[in-house]
Amino acid sequence: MSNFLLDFLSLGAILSGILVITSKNPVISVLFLISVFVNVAGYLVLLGIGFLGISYIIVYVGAIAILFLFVIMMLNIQLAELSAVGSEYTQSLPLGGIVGSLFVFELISILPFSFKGLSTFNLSSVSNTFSESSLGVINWFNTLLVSSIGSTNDVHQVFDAAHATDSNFTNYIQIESIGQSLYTYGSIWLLLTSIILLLAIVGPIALSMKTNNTDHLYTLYR
Amino acid sequence: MIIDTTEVQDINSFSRLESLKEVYGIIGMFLPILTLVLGITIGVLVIVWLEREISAGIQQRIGPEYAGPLGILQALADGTKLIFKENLFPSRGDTRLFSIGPSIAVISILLSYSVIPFSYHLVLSDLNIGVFLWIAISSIAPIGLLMSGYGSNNKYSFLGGLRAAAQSISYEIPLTLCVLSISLLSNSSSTVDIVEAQSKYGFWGWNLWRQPIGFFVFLISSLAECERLPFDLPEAEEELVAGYQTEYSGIKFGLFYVASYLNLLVSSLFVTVLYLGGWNISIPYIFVPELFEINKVGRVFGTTIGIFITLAKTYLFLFISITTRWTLPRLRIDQLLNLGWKFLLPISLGNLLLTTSFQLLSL
Repeated sequence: MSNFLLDFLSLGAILSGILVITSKNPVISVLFLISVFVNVAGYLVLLGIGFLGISYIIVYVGAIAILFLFVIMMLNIQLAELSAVGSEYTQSLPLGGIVGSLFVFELISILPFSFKGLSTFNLSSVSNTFSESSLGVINWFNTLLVSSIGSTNDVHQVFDAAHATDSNFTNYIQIESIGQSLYTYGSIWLLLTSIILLLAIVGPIALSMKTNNTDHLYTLYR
Repeated sequence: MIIDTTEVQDINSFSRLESLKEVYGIIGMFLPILTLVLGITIGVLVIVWLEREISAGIQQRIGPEYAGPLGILQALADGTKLIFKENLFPSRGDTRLFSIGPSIAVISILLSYSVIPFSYHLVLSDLNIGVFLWIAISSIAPIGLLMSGYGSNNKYSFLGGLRAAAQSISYEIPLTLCVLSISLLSNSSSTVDIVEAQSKYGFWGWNLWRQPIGFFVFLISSLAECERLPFDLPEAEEELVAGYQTEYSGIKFGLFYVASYLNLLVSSLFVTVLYLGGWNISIPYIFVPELFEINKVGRVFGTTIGIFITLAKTYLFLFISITTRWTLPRLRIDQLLNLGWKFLLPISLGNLLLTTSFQLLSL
């Protein structure tokens, strides 16, 4: 029964995703984005990680999608200006092709293709160097914080499903196991994410702060 | 193809018994859900009557007295009137968004009832992450409000919808942090575990004494989530006519009306489950569960007592919120948002830190 529903949920997510980009009305696009989030949350719940699915709904639907809805509804978008026909449409296709292929190249070079061992399948030496160097930088930060992980291939283990210490977590419930692994092995990711969130909080406040004084720079450093 | 008689008998028995068991299984799945929905509907009728009577008492007048004895059927009369009214659609509004808006608000509130334990084994789904389901699903309600405000093709409805959504998401965060503190205290997010963690010392085992600040913040935040006075601005009559509900008539307005009371009931039930000890008889030194486990009749009796106790504790919070509605004046939108972000959020964060440090110290 759950296999049956998994197929429907993934089909619903893909369909909603296509409808997001092909809808004429931007409000309908955001509503289909909400549908994508809800389908993926249901998929995660059926896979067994219920906490992650519920937190998808809390964060994505309850905060991010509402933010999008606020912005889209408050902008006065004239639907006639949005639809492009003829040469206006085809002249933007080459740029779209370039950006899309760049994205696909990044995905193929970063993600490890084999999850069982530590070998990754890479297309060329250039992408090999890119992935190894980025993983090396992240590993160096990680070794500064968690001294028990010391080798170069350990960050792969964060992505790796069959890890030796994962068996310790079968005694815990889901939230405990997420907390245990996030705050020890994944501490570098946690700290990076918190820095990004802090920036996201401080940035808009600094940008939108109303100053009575005309000397903007002076009031920021007051 | 030669089939033996035993095989034929097996196939016959399989098709007869197993299909019947499947049917019973499916019916058995729907029966608790239908019972819960029936209970909720009766609960909403009771709350509407309670509100009329209590507000009449506060304003020193007689409440409803014509619809049924003592006005008990007043809610049914209101519902019937709303069903018979004409369903208006604004002429250039977005019809689909206009229709779906109230439904999403009601659906998200009704789904939260599935994790509330009414008595010892009477919970629709005992999830590991029960209270977080409520938090997650109550995050979907502002989308319904935004859709109904936008689809009305009316600037004032739109503003009302934006304000209602802003109020909802602002008070969600102190609510979540209070619920997190409770999960820390009881070591689990399942509602049944939270109630059972409060069952040891009777009256003194309530989470209310361990989390007084959290109780205070939770009360205010849940009143704001339900959009009841004093946080009534989305439906304010002087400022915005009726906010996002302006263009609604007939049963769609009835859905908003019912959604408000459903939200109130679910918030009150969560207050009893999280802070007031749920279904436990809270008189200390009476070990009631052992008394009632003797035989089947005793268990049924014990479960029924549990339901009555839950409802009695819920009534306390309902009385407090209805009295608050008819006593306090309304807050302005900037006062409302200030209260949510600058007062309740730091207090609930501090409460979480305090709870965490006390948990660490007691280890």
